[in-house]
Amino acid sequence: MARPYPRERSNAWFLERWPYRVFVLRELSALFLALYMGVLLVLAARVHEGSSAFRDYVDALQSPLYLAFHAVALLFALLHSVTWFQAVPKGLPLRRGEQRVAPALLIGANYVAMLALTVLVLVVVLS
Amino acid sequence: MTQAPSDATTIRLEIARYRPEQDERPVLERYDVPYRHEWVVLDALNYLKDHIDGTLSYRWSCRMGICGSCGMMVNGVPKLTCSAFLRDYLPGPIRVEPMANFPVERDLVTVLDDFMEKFQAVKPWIIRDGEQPLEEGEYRQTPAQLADFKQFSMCINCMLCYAACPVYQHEDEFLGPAVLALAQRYNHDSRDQGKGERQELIWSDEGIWDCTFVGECSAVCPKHVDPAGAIQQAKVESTVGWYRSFLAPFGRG
Amino acid sequence: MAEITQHDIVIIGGGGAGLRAAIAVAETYPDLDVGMVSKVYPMRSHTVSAEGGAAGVIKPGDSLEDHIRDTISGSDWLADQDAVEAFVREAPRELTQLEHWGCPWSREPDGSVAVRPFGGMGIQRTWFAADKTGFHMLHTLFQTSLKYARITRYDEWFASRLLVEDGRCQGVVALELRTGEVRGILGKAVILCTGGFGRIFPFTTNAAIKTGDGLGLAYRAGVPLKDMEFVQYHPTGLPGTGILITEAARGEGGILVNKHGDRYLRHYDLGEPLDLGDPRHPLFRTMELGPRDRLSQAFVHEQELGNVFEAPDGAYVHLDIRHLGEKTIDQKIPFVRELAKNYVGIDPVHQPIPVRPVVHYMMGGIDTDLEAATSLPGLFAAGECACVSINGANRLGSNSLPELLVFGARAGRGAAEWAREHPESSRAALEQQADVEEARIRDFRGGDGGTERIASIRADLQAAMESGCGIYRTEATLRAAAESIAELRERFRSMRLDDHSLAFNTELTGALELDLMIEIAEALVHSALQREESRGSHQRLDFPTRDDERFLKHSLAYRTEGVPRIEHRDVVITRWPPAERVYGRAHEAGAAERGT
Repeated sequence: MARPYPRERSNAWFLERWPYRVFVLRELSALFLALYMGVLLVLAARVHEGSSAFRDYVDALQSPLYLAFHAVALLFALLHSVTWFQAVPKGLPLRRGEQRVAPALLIGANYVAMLALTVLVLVVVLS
Repeated sequence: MTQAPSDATTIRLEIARYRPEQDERPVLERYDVPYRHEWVVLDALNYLKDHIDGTLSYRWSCRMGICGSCGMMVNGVPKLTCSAFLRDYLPGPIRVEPMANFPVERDLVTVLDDFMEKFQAVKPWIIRDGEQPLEEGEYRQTPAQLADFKQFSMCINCMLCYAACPVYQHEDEFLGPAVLALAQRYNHDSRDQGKGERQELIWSDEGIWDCTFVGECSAVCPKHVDPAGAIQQAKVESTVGWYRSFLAPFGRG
Repeated sequence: MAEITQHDIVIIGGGGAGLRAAIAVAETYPDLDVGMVSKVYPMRSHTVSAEGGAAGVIKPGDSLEDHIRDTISGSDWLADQDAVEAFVREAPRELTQLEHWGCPWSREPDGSVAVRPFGGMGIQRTWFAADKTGFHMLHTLFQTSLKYARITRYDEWFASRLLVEDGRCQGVVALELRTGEVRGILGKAVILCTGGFGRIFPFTTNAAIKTGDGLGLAYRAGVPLKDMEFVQYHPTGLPGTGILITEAARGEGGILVNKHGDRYLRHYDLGEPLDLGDPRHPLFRTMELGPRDRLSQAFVHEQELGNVFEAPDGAYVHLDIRHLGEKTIDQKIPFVRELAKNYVGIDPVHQPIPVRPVVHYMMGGIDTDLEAATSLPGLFAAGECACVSINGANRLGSNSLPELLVFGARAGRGAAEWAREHPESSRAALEQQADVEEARIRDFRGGDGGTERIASIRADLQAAMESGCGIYRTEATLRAAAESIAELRERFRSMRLDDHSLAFNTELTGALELDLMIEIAEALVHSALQREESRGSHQRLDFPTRDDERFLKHSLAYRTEGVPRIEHRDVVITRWPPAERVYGRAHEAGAAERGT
C-alpha cells in the first residue's frame, strides 16, 4: 500500500536560498533600529542632564565599538528602508479606474519623501 | 530573448525517486537525456519516461502553463516544469525534486489533500443574500470593479507558492498563499456578499496573521497573482475592521 | 475482490461538462448524491486551455436565428438542426448562469458583458474572459461545485470499464492512482464527460490527458461513435509544441500572411482583405474570420505552392497582430503574448507569430440525443466526448464552451430523472464484473512477458493517424492507416510495462489509455473510409465534392470483433435546407439583409 513520504521541515531553511536570507536580514534590521533608538533615547536623557553629561556621552560614542555599531546599524537601516519601500505596493494597490498605479511610482514616492525628510532634518540641524 | 543554440548534445538530470514499496526515503538518480534548445524540463522528463525508464511518475497535462499540474523543484526552486527551459540550466546537471513542503506520494508526485481541504474551507464561491433571476440578465460589473479582483482570479492552483513558503513549512494550520488570495478574490468581487462568512477564518491566526511576509510566494508565482500582496491587503482591511469595531460604540452605527 | 461503493449518479470526468452536470443534479434534485470520477483533479481538466470565448446571443442586433444559421453553415449542413436550435436557445442562459456564479467575463464600460468577433460568426457574439475563457469557466464551475456536499469526488481515479447489467449502464470500475486499488463505483445513471481525443495525433493543441477514454468505454459497451472522421485542425498553433494561439487574435484584427507578405486567404474564396486601417476590419465571416476548416485547408495549398516558411519544426505562416498595438494586446489577448514569448521566443507586439494548422477538436464522439442520452439506457454523455450533433463537419470557434454547459446541464438533469425512476439491479452481477475488471488490470500491471513499450506503440499510432487522416485524405492513405492500426493492435498484445507498482503507476494508466486510443482511432479511420465525399473538415482528394445525395448523413461506428461496422443515419433538417457554404461573399449579402 501507498506510504507517502512525510513532508520535510528544515530548521535552517533561512540559510537555504538568497530570498530567505534577505528576509531574515530584513527582520533582523528591526532589531538594529531598536538598538539605535536606544542610543538616541540615552542621548536625549544626557542632554536633559546637562551639557557635560552630553559631551561625555558624545565622546563615548566615538569609541571604535560604537562607531562599528553605527556603521552596521546604518546598513541595516538602509536595508530596512529599501525592503519595506519595495513592499509598499503589495499592501497598497492604488488604482485609477482599471489601471493600477505603477508600483515604481509608489516606491518612488517613498524615496522622495525620505529624501525630503532627510533634507529637512539636515536643514534644522545645520541652521 | 532567445540565446544562440548550445553545442550540448545531452544534459544530466538528477531526479528524486521515491518508490513507496521499496524506498525508505527519496534518493537522487541520474539520467542523461538529449539536450534540445527548445525543450523544457518536462520534455526531458517525457523523453526519459518514454525511452529510458517507464517507472518514473510525475504529473503533467497541458504543457502550456495553465493546468497547474507540473510544479516541481528545479535546482531547489519551485517551477512549472513546462515553462522551465533546459537552456537556462546549462551545462547542467538539473536537479528535479517533488514540490517542497508536501508529502511525497511517489517520485515527483506530491499529496494535495491538505491544500484541497483548505481550498474548500474559505468558501470559494459567490455568496449572496438573494439571487437575481437569470431572466434579468447578468449582474453589472464595471471594468474597474473587475480589475479589483481579476489578478487574484488568475491562480492556477499549481501550489508553487506553498513550496516557497517557510511559514507553511512550519505551521500545519496555515491556510497558505493561494488559498488566502482566493478568499480575497471573492471578497473583492462586486457580486459577492460573503466577506462576513469568510472573515473569521481568514482573519484568524491560521489565516493572514500567520504570514510573516517573506514574499517568496509572489516571486515564484508563474501567473503574477501576487498572493503576498493579497495577504498584506487583507491585513490592512482586517486592521481597519478591528479599529472600526473598536470605535463602533462611538460611531454612528 | 473489488470494493464497491454506491451513488445515485456517477459522472466520469471533472472538466466543464462534468462539473456542469454535477451542479445540475445537485440543484435539481438535492437529495441525489453524485460520485465524480476524474483521472486528474478537476481544475487540471482540458477545459482550462480554452482561450477565445463562448458564443451566446445577448446583444441587440443579434438573433438566435443568426447564430443557428452560422452554426449550421459552419457545420457544412451536417449538424442536426433541432440540436443546434436547442443549443443556441439555451446558451445565453447558461452563460448568464456562469456569470452569476462568478465567472470574470470581460466587461463593457457600462458593466454589461462584452462580446468579440469570432471565425464563422456573422456578428460579435462571443463572450470572453480576456483570452483565458476556459480557464475562468472551469475554475468558476469547480469552485461553485464545492458548495454542494452531495458531490463526492474521486480525484485521480481512472475509469477503465462501464458496468452494464440488465441492458442498463449501472456504474464504472475505476483505479485509484494513489493506491492502485480497483473499485466498483455504482450509479443508477452514468454520465461520460471525458473530453476529446486529440492525443491520437502527434501534433495537437490537446493536453496529455485527452486520450478519449470515455469514447472507448462507451464503444466497448456497444454504443456507436458518431461522425468520427471529422477532425478539426485549428489554423494557428505554434510550430513544435502545437500550443494554441487563440482565434481571438484574429477576432481582434490579427491577419495571416505567407512568406511573401501576402494575405493569402484571399485566393481561397474567403473574400477580399480590407485595409488594416479600415474601421470595418476584421469583416465577419471573411478572410481571417472564415471557418477553421477552410483556413487550415488554405495553408496546405500554400505549402504546396511553396509560399510558406520552412523550418525543422514544420512549415509555418505568420500571424501578425502588431498593428493592434501593445495596449489592446495586453488587454484583450495577453495570454497570446505570454505564450509566444515563452514558447517561440518572440514578442508579438514587435514580431509576427509563426503558426501552422494543428489538431484541435473532434467533432465526432459518443452518439447522443438532444437530452444527452446514449443508446445504452442509463448512460449519458456531454461535452467534447459526445456528438449530439451541433458541430457537424466543422465546429465554429466559441461554440464548444457553451456546448459543454448546455449539454452538461441537460445530461445532469436527464441522468437525475433516470436515476429516480430506476433502482439498482443485480448487485451480485455488478460485483462480479468489477472483479473481472480488477483481474484484467492486475494482468496489465503485472505483465512483463512482452517486448513492446507503450510509448513506441503510441508514437506509431500517432504517426499513422497523421499520415493517413490529415487535412486531406484518400482511400489509399486511409487504408494504409487502417492496416497500421491493425498491426498496432497486435503489437499491443505483447506490450510490456517497466512499472509494476501499485502507487501512482502512470505507465499503467498510459497502457489503459492506449488500449482505448487504438479502438477509437480504428473507428475514425473506418468512418473516414466510408465517407466518399468532401465535407467540412473531412476532405477526400478522391471525392472532392460534397455529396448530399449519399452523405447528408451521420456516420455511426459500431464495435465488432473485426473491423468496425459503419452505419449511416439521416441528418435532421428542419428549417435550413442544405445550401452552398459561402464566406466572404456571404458577408455582403448577409449584411445587406440585416440592413447594416
